[in-house]
Amino acid sequence: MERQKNRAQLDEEDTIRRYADMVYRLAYAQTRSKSDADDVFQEVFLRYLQKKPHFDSEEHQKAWLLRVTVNCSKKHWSSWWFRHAVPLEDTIPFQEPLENDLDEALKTLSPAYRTVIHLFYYEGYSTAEIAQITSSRESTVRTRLTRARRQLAEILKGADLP
Amino acid sequence: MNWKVYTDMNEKIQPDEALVEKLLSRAGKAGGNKSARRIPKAAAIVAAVLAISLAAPAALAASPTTYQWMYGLSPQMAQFFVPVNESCEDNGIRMEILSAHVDGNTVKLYISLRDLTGDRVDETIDLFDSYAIYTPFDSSGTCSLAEYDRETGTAVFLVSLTENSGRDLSGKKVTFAANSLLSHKAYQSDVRIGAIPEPFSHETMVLSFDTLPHSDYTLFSVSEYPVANRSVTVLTPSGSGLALSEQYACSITGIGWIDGQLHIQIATDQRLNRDAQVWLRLRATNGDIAEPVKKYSFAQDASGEGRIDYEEYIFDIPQDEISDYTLYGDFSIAGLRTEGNWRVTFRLPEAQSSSS
Repeated sequence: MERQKNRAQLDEEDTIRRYADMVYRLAYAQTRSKSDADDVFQEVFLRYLQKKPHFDSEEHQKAWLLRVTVNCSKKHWSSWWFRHAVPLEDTIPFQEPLENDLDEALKTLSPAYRTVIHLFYYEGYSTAEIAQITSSRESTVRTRLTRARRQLAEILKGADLP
Repeated sequence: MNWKVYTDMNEKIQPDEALVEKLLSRAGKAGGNKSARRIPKAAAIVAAVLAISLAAPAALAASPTTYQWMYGLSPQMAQFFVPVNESCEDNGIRMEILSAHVDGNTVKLYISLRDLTGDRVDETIDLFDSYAIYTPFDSSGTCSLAEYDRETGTAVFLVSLTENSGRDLSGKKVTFAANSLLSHKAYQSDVRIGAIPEPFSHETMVLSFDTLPHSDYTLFSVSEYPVANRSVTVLTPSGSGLALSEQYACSITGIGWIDGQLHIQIATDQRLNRDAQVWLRLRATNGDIAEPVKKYSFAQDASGEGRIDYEEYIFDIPQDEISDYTLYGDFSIAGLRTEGNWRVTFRLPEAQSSSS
């Protein structure tokens, strides 16, 4: 019994370490705020530790964590506190000027647009897979990607992105 | 656009190691740690106060009523706060400045409110911007509910003040005042409203943050910052609209399409009086949820007695799929508004000096 308990703990620790960056990056992509990303990050892994879901594969586990991150960010986005709070400058500073320009431009997008951008361009998911993760229609995902790209291109017109 | 910059940027984003270690310490607990929860904001503020002040505990003449709650929350924290015990009473409600902590140019105050005649102060108590903090120095401050004691019906607020030029605030006079309280708030989440009504808005208008004072409408906030040209396009509110909820005092005053996006506009005349709030979402027949991608807040006759507040929710839904969606909402409104004149002036204690 003691060996099984240690095995479970090791598995959970391994999952947290392996996916910590992935979950945090999506949380930050959506919230664009360090403290909000911290909150969402904690919430996601606390749910994982409490629910102890069974996964058929590594891909299944990864998709589950991403889906929970999206849902926790949505809940955070629509929370009463958020609606009353004044936006604070609480972002991660980037050394490269181009990265700062892009970060500022991303802040002008809605969280829904930032989510599809991140899952498509950073995590490499298809629009069909993103639709499953975000519980949206694939047509909605495609529309959001198109609009997000157009909006970013307009804002970054003057920026010398490679 | 080359997305390599985006990829490189994300490679530098990582959670703090302390945050990861905290989660790792909870791994492996049987059935999950049922008490596992994020540190609530009130306690996080307490931790910040402890981190700021490393002084030896002040010599305190603690009164049981003043420190009962504080010691219950954190005995360590209570030692750094100096009792103030100044109070006032109006309309059967007592406001007391419990204690204060001064550290250079920052001040933290604990203030309690208690209904001596009934239950107007409950766990949903909200000062709702009716409070004011008067100081002889230029400062910024916040006020938030820290704790509610059901047994005594006492709400405790934490007020944080920061003096803007770095001066020591020891011994300075401060006045805390409030003139209305909201309580007995009703909440309902994920309420099924019904099929999205046929769009009936035919006109739009442009609202700008630079709108002149004589204009009928005032734009207050948008969900994304900054907004292009400091202006947005919204539906022109319909005079009649569709009743949405009598209990939550709101109606639909506009539904229409702007640039291929669905706009749904909600109006209430109880935003200031009773903090009436609505949040909309759409749910597809297969259960998929579409949250709004943007939200605009504006008001008509913003400073007059006939003020109406509008919230416009924007959804990315293909027009030919609209019949697949049902409208859902979260609602909130205060059941009680209590007026009064609560005002306490007191002198801040001496600052706690840091230990060497």
